[in-house]
Amino acid sequence: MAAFERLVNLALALASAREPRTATALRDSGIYPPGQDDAAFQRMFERDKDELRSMGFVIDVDEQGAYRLDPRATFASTIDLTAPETAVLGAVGSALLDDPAFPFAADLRMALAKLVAGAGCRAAAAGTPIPGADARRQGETVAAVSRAVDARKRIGFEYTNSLGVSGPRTVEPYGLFLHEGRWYAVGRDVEKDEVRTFAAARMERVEPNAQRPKSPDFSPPEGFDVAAFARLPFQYGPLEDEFVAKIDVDASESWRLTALSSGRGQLTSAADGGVTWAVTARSETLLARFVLENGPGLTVSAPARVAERVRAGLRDTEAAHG
Amino acid sequence: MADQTARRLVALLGRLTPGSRTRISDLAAELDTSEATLASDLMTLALCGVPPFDPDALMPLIVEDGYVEVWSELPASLGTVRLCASEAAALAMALQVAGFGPGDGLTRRLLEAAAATGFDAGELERSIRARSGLHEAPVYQTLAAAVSAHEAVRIEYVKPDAAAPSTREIEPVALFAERGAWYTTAWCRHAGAWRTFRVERIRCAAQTGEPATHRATPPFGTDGALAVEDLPLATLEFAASERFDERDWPGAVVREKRDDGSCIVEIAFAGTAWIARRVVARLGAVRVLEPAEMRAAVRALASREAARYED
Repeated sequence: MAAFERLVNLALALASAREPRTATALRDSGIYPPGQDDAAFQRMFERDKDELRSMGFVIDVDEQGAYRLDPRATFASTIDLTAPETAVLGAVGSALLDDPAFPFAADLRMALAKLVAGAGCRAAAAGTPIPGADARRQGETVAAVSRAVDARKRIGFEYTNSLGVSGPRTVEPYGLFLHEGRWYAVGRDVEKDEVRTFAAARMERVEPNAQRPKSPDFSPPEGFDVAAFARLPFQYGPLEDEFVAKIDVDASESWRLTALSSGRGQLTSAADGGVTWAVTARSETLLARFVLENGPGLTVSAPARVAERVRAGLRDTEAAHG
Repeated sequence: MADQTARRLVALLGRLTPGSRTRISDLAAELDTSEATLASDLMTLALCGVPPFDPDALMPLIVEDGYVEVWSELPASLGTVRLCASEAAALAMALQVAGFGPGDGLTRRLLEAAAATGFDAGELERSIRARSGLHEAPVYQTLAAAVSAHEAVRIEYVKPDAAAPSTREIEPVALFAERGAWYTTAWCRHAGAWRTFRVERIRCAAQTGEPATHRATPPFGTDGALAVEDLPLATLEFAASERFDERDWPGAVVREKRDDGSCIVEIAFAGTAWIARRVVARLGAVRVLEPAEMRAAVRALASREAARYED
């Protein structure tokens, strides 16, 4: 009997039972090989329960050591999705299932297959992976870090920083975030005793701490939220370069600010319906780029030196294309 | 790691309801396996059941002619097995990528109904954040629905080089992500041509209820975006101070690297707006050499933006 056949039989036996079943009763029901010694059965039975639990079955054990399936915890409630909601799942599935940079595709495929007929099919909307020659390696790195975040295990890896200097790192990974198609890991660099951000594309040979694999190595700081590290493009750089910028947004474009600001900074409405967005920045160049790329309707109003730099740069650009 | 065959079959349990008849190739495509493999798995599943494993206690499946049919009641009370933690996390992250956070109705309802007990999408987002793009989730949903239903959509769109939003009707055929931003490829009734629209620049979208008139496949590239082979090329000059990165200029190719660190780049374009805005945002570090229409677009945009700083 194939292993999966035994697993399905065990699931069906538990689902059909009106009363909890002991391990012995399950063993004698024909699910397990006849003549198997006790130790071998026990190992196989424990492994099977773990497998079923990992697939979503909730198996309770009572005080007598008998097992039952909790149907409410095991089976989903009815989900009535609207056609647009189903279409969203189809589009998301289509875009991400074949994306090598999305490291959770196998689990996503199973989730969609369980929930929505057809949502995991590429026949829905045409989708596309987030591009990058190293997308697959990045995806594998993120999968490894994600497992360590979940298990709270330290990881060791080789890291090449933005200056091209490589070296080994040991990090307690607290979280991951995706920014413009690239994944970043956030965690405490054990040697430096500082929380740092690492680009997944610059990480190689990620290995979790092999010692005591089922015991966590650390706890993330209380209230940790990786969103605090997913900054706007102009907010990266040395802390000593930080300044407060003000960006005036026309009334006609203020609807885009919720998304553009990503919840960062403060928004103040003006009488004409426009909005002033006060936000910290660390790069004048990238601030100017952000404002101009996301125009029309955005203007840097402070600091004055940045506004003047943008104005002069625009006039130079105009002249260079005359 | 769970047995993959068992995992596939468990994923299908909720679909195997009495009286159902499903094409095996469709299920195989959803599960990313071959039709032959899944048919073999289903035939083995038909041998599974409950004690005493007599014919009446087995899964009532018929696998033939490319279909799986459930001809009777199942031997156990089954349903859609809830998503285990890793499946729920993958779904929550995928929805994040599409702009639907833990608090959005779709995410909340799906996970409340189907995720393993105790799974918290909000807690997941505090450790893994996969939000992508700056678009509004309802706009994304409307576009996805229109793609699926082959219907037209009325949108308010802010073109990168326009002073105000314009209203237009489009027939979307694809949604795709690039560098973390979502785009839709659509037949634009306004332009009478295929166009790609950045979703975050769509202020609002509503299905018109009209069927799409252009179902022919547009000239897609391999990534879902419009193919660029037949488009005209613009030539750009990057100063030595401006590092060229293909990620910032998708599809662009370096044609010449100079000793002083500057370089010449060629990039295909369907319209001038997007490239003009990116060139202007480099504040002189990138210059358009040709064509003249692109130079004119950059000049006009730079002038208009500069005027905002001189009022």
